[in-house]
Amino acid sequence: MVSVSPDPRIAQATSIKAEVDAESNDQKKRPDDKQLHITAATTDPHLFTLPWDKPLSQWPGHLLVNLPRGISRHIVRFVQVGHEIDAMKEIPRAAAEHEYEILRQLQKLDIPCVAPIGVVTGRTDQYGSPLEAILITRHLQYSLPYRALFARNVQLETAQKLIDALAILLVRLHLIGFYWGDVSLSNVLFRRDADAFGAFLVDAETGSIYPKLTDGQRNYDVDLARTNIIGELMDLSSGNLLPSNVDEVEIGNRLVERYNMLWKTLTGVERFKPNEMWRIEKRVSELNKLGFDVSEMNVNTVDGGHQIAIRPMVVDAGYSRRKLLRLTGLDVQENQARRLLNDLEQFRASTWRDADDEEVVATDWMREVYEPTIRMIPPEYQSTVEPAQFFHDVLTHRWFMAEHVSHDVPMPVATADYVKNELPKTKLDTKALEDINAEADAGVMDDESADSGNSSTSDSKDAHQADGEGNES
Amino acid sequence: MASVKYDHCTRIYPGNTEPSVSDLNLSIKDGEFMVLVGPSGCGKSTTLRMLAGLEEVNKGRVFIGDKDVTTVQPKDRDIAMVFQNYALYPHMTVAENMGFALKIAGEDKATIRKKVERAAEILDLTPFLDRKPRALSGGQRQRVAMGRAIVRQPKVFLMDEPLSNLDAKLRVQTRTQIATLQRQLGVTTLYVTHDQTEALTMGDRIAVINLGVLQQVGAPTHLYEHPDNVFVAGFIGSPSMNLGTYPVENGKAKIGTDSVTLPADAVAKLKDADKGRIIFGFRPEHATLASASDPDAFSLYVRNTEDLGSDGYIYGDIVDNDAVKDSGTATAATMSDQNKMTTIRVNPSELPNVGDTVKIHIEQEHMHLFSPATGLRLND
Repeated sequence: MVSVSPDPRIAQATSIKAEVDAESNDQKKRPDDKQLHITAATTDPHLFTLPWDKPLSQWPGHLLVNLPRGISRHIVRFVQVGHEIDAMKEIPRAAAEHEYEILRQLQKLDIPCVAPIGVVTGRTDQYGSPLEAILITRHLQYSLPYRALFARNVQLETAQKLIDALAILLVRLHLIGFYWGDVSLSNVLFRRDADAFGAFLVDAETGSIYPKLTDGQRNYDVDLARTNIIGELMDLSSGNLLPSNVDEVEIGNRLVERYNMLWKTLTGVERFKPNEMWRIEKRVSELNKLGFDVSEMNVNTVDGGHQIAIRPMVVDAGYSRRKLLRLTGLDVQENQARRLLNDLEQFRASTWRDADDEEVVATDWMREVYEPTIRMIPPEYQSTVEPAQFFHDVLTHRWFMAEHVSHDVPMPVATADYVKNELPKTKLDTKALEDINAEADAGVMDDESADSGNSSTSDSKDAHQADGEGNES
Repeated sequence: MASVKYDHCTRIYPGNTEPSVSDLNLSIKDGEFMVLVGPSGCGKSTTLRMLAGLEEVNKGRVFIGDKDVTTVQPKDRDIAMVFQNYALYPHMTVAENMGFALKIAGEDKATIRKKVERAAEILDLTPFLDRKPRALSGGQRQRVAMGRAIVRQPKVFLMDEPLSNLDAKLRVQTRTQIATLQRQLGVTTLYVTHDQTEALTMGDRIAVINLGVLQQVGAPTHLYEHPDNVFVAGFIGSPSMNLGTYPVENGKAKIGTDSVTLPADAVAKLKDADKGRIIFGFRPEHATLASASDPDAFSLYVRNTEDLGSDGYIYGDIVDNDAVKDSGTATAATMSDQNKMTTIRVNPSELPNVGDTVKIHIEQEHMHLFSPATGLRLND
């Protein structure tokens, strides 16, 4: 037999994703091509009872959850699976398997991204005709696509914050060697993180992980991000959803500037004289401020010992997050954690307990301050309002109230006022949600789905009221 | 538009000892549609990414036209990576969707409109220019996405498995559209695929790569009819070529219990390193059923047949020592499509019964003979 021996390079091949197609093109079917096969990271039995023999666009409304969707070339639906909400995306098998694997790797590397739940292959309809595979990811609770955020008359500052969040995500992805190939606002979800936003990757179809990215790969991603962001904002502008003072090109350029600044700070080699060792500490402090920790610092003498060169190895951000988790068991985002820790410190100072153990004070703060506040989130908001963010927003609201009345406002009073006057503003109305999802379907390129997509969620569950907690105050 | 030239290009990934692309010399003519094809891990995507500026070139140089672009950043190369998940923007009209990148680049309105109109004409989208994507069918939306790529009029289009994320129906449709478009536009194109059928149907020329080494470049028919080595022979064509290694005795290949006369010039080229053996190949359509007494034919035990109306296929095992090899051992001797059995295409009216043993004759002009030691072609 004449054969080609396996080669280690095959493991790095980007076209492995297409191998299954190669077989189908040769009319060689895998044994399970017509057998439903579910690879899942969950054992929820509800997953196995879904109507896999129907195109996703024809799934019955009672299974669907009406949440805002981003623009996609493929059919995407949110489906209630037991107690969870999963995003289902109908794509070719090879693409689904590739994306599932990439998301799993990103998750292991602690990158903010949607959690991969499974891949369903071997689907056939009732007549035995093959259906595309489905990639299942867990819906990222409290998150929103950028279009849902812009449906609420956002300010220029919000647009800038979204770009900053995307720049941080892109830098983090590049640091671990992920080449995205399709960076855009549409391919991330945003979750509020105190006064900033956190960006989460939701589409890894074109991505691959390399040992180290070339400058060309990084620059291509950044350039593509710029083009896509400008396009996305121009589109919002065409739909009168962008404030008139926002310059699309300027916002797109901001991504490039922010990215380059971050990349330089995180990876650049700095040189100084041997008597300026304090600059190491300064560099670490700068990196901490940007939300990154330093795991290792390479320090070399250069120029015959007359100069010191340092290069930090950065790891994921999360100093405040880890501290809050240790003290309270609350797992929240970094900026939220910082805000909560600040409030905890204030509690400690105001109760004259500087000498007490941090852990003991934290337990009391949880019982006396945090939990009573969180319990005041009305039931109808509990699935959409993230508790830590709610707490942050109440703190901010309390500050404004106190400034207005010129004295301190108790937390329960501030919370009640926030719930009554501010929280309702965060709701996305039904019309806006319908528009967003109709827009999302307008980009779908599958023929059958293109005709039916717009109506498919009309009778879906509205229990979640399609909202994150995007308060723009 | 421009030609493209890889001049002794090598790419070794950090930490690897073997190059992923090794000493590649390849020229793509101005306006040509060149398809890079090969199995997973062969280096074809790396080759494309070197031209895109996404991979460093460790040795050698890359030219677009007369310009050495080896160290030029991707955005400054005037190339377009095409169809990688272009999104359509719902509030923009078809014309705006196609032309917005030109607007970012600062082109004036009249020029943008002119370029968009030309692209729309080619893509059959003229009546839809002022509509929104919502009012289009899925296929039309796909064409708008193509329009977004072509209005830029880059020097080179780069397409890396552009069809792999499309559903099955759109894939065939889009394949035809891309090939037609490329010819209409005349833009130099480098297209990467693992799928040899895609390569054969689309490319002006095909470059076959394996293990980082360019195996052969040529027009689809040339590669099909005259593969330079055993890898190309086995890779190009569907169903694939039947290939087996057999002892050579007195100018004849001993195939199972039978002997088949080989062209003398090919036998003369065998070296000691070949150890008295030859790789014998033939395409399924070049086999003919021979009479039982034909002295220049080999015996095939028929395992399965397929009647496709226009064609009939016989799948079988070569008879050895008067016993039919079981399928397991048969795979060691032959290579073809169905469970590694030997594949023969005949007129459906000639299809034998399963369980028959038939004689198969191959004309010398249709034999593909290779050296087992080097894998290189022996006959003209």
